[in-house]
Amino acid sequence: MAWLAASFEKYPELAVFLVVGLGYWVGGFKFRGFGLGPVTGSLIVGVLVGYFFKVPVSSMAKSILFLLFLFSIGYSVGPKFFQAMKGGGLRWAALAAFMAAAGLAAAYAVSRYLKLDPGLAAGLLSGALTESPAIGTATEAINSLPLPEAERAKLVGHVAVADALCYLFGAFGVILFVSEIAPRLLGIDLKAEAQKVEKELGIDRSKPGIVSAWRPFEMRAYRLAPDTRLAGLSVAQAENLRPGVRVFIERIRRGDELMDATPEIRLQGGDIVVVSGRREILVELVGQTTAEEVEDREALDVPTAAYDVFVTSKDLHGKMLEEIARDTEAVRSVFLRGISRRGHEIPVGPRTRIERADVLRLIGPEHAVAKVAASVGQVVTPTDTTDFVALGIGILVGALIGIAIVVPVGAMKIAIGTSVGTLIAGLLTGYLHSTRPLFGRIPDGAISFMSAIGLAGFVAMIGLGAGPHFVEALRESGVGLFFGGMVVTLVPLVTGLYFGRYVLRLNPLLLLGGMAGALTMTAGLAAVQERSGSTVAVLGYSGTVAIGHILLTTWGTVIVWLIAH
Amino acid sequence: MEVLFKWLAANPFILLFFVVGGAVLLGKATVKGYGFGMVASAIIVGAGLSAWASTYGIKMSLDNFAKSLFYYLFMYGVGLRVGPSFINSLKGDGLKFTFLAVFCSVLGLLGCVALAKLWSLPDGAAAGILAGAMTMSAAIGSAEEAIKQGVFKLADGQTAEQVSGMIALSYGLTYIWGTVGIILICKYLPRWWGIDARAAAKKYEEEKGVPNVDDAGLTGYRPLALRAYKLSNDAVVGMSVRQFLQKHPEYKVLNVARGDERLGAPDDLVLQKGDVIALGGRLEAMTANMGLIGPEVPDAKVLNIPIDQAEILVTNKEMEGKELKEFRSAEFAGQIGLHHIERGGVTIPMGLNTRLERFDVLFVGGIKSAVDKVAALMGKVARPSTSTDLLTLSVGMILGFLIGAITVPLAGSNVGLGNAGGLLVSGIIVSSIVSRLRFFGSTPNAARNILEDLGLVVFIAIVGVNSGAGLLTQLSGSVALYIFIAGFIVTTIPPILVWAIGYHWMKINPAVLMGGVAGARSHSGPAREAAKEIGSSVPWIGFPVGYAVSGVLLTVFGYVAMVMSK
Repeated sequence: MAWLAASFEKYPELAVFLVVGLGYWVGGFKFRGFGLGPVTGSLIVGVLVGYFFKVPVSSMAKSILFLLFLFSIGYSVGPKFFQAMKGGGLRWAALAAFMAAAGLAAAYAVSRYLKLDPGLAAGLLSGALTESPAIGTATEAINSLPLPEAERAKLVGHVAVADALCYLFGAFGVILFVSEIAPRLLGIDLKAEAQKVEKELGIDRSKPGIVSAWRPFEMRAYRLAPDTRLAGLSVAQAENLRPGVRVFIERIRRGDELMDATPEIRLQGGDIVVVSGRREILVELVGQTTAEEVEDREALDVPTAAYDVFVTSKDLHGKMLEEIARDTEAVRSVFLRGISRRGHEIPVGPRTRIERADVLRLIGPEHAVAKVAASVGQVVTPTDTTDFVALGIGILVGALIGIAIVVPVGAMKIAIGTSVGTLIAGLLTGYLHSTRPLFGRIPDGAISFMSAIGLAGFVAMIGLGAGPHFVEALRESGVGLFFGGMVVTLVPLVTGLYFGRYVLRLNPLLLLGGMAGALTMTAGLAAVQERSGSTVAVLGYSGTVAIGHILLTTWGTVIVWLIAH
Repeated sequence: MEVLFKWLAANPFILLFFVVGGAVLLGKATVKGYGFGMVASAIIVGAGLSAWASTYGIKMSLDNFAKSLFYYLFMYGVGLRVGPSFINSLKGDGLKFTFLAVFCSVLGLLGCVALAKLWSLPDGAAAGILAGAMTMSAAIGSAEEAIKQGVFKLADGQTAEQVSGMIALSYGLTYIWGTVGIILICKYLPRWWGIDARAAAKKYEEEKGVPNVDDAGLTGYRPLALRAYKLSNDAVVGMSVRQFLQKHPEYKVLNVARGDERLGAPDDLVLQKGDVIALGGRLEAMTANMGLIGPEVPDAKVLNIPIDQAEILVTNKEMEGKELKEFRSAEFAGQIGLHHIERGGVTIPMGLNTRLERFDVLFVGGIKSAVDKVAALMGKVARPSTSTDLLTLSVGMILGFLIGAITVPLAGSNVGLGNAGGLLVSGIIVSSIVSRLRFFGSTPNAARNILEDLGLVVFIAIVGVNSGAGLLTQLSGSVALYIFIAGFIVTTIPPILVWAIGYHWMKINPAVLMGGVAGARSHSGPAREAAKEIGSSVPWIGFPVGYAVSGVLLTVFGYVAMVMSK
């Protein structure tokens, strides 16, 4: 024990990783589908370790990790957030905003009633609404209060204690409410409702690593009949037999010789030709001629590539696809799988006009695609490297914004704080990236890593700092806090349910998903999905979760200011 | 200016991101393709800013907790990266490159220490020159570790800040030639020897058949075909799916659509005229029996069958020694494609008679249900994932601290790997286990890169800021000149000797050796330049083993240089 205590004091980093590791392990335990989750696990383990050992953690390391987390979370919800702000997502945004406001009001009322200090009040809010990032914003707000340092450290500790205490019901209550109580209050059968919604929407499920077996473009090998009417035609003529239909001959095998097709080569009966084109064209056009399909591994072994290309060429801007296709030599063998404009797939037809900053998804033989890609713009290849310009400067600018922007509330002036500023910077970067894929590229793996290690490490350090205050705070206001937390959890759920159903007229099943999203409780969504036997509730969830995250995180700053003044 | 410095000094993490942001921008700037890179820029920006602030009497400092936290993350990340190739370095051809890397690193270390003693350079200079001239920024961390652990004993009146300041200063002075010089040397070595590296690369490509490094390409050939047919053949109408499969075992019925309904493919489903049947099988079987069912139809709906990609680890004992052809008649045959098999981290050639061994990793793609079946039969499945297994990460970090705490008494004092060395070792251990077992410890490359890059740049930025304050008092013209000359020698000599040994004694192909030299210096820049220069990817073949070995050695040598130069 003494050795451990000495090690922790000399190498506090060791304690942090120990807490995160144990926290993940503890948080992984599931009881009837309900677990603490890694973040709360880290917090609780952190409090325990901090209670028994003295671990000097630095506030700077804490801030860096937290800012990394905020930037990543902003980056990943950015595209959805701006999507929700415009168009059909408005009702979901209203639901999220309503529930967040109800939660804040309830937390404020309960804190005033129980006469909680700003630390406990913030913990009550973050725990009962299961938004651990609010601990961070609240901590920052507390540290800018005009109080002696010891007092501030105590308040920061209180945030963690109250959060851990209220989190239990916060998580459990949301899951129970959206999956069991709310369906009864509304009088709906989740399974039947799910089938109805799926039918209406014609659902679309996707999972990483899984692709559909349907390939719109194919390459097949055919042996031409000896008396084929193609005999004597050049490759270019054969391809143009049906004007407007795009099929290409890639290779020809004549006897033992295998050659790459050029437009001038003349076809002969008995040739094996490798043809590429849309599946339906191959099936209907070529498949019903006298040509016989054959298996020819060597001939079919054409290196093909699928590239996403970002359009920068000025010449292409405003051109219709059919105009471009007319110049056959330039775009030979290359097919367009889709166009994504400002992050959305747009329907593609011959008269679709290409705009700059579109992303074209091209497929075809490697050299042909590469040639076309070079004249169109820049290839967006998958990358493992993070754009540190976006990350480093983004966080810096965000932190500066947070200090520079001051919101006057009555007589007070509240700076939105570096954490909220960074969140906004992340949102903007993520959104800009979705519209301009070469800007600010941060791969998914890096984003999920930064948000996981950022939050877990941050919370572990908060817990370690809170350990010494744990027992005292619990004795003073433990029972009141716990029941106060229940109130704060339930108020937004109950009011949100009726507001969403009868004022916003949302579909009840999607509403339940949306409520889980507004309180950023993914496990609640999972419970609804399990009870309804369908994943469709995620539509509501994704409509509200971005706004939920942003508002609830901001509330950490707000509640500290409300209570302190 | 003074106001700005005061404000930055009072807001440490804004200062940190200010330095990191500045470093990123400076690192991007290049002159004729040569630039400092992000890491070296961090020390320049950090030390510069803090030295400038010190002229106003403002002392900027960032705390050590964040510094070591990020350095430790970085070291673990390096361990994770080099782990798999580190193991390969000890066998076969890898040994040659391992030797070159060891030679180059040791020569560099001895050079720094000897020159520092010869010219009586201040404490810390030897380690700083090593880090700069060999462009191994991580060595700064291990050198500082030596001070922190007390292995390097400070003289009376000397502060740790002064020594770290000297480390940072020597690093900055020697880094420029360290990075530009090695690229130039590596590029021109063949010419100085009068060798046509281009021809050598061609010859190597012809002999060995170089694998395409750029794996964005797919091939048009797909052995597993999946097609939809409209049932019109009366001989098949009225059969159940089971009967059809008994008659034609070479096919699999994957889905049946009747009107607008998709029925799946239960065994007892009776096929009716007009059904659209999604049929899977080998391409040759498909093309051999045209018209068995009816005309092919392009039906996106019925062919919308999920295809799964997975890595399967063979753990079941019963599978050991089975030949691949034994699975020919299994239920999943024809629904799943085996891309390749990895054994002990190496892709092995496979054929029908390949025998499975335990802990083989099978890379498969195919119908989801079939992949699941194979996985259940063979052992454990790992799917590509973008999330990082933080539990394994934390356990690995703790393991690293424990390894670092082991000390052996040597020459009167206790010597151990230290935290940084321990983390490096635990990273290597964890990644070599994970690369074999797959199903835990997922650390996507993107996450590992962040761990390394961010860890290092934050660490270096803090070192820069903390050392900048004392920089101006320590700097004198003659010391700076000596340090620069020492760095020039240490950068220039070792790679030329490595080349000579590799070419004359080991008879390594010159094109491969260009990569080997870059690897021995643990720097990817020259390998990239060499590949561009000779228009071939052959240099990359000589790169990875040396890169891993010298990366580890040079990092640890920062610590050793501090001890030896005392």
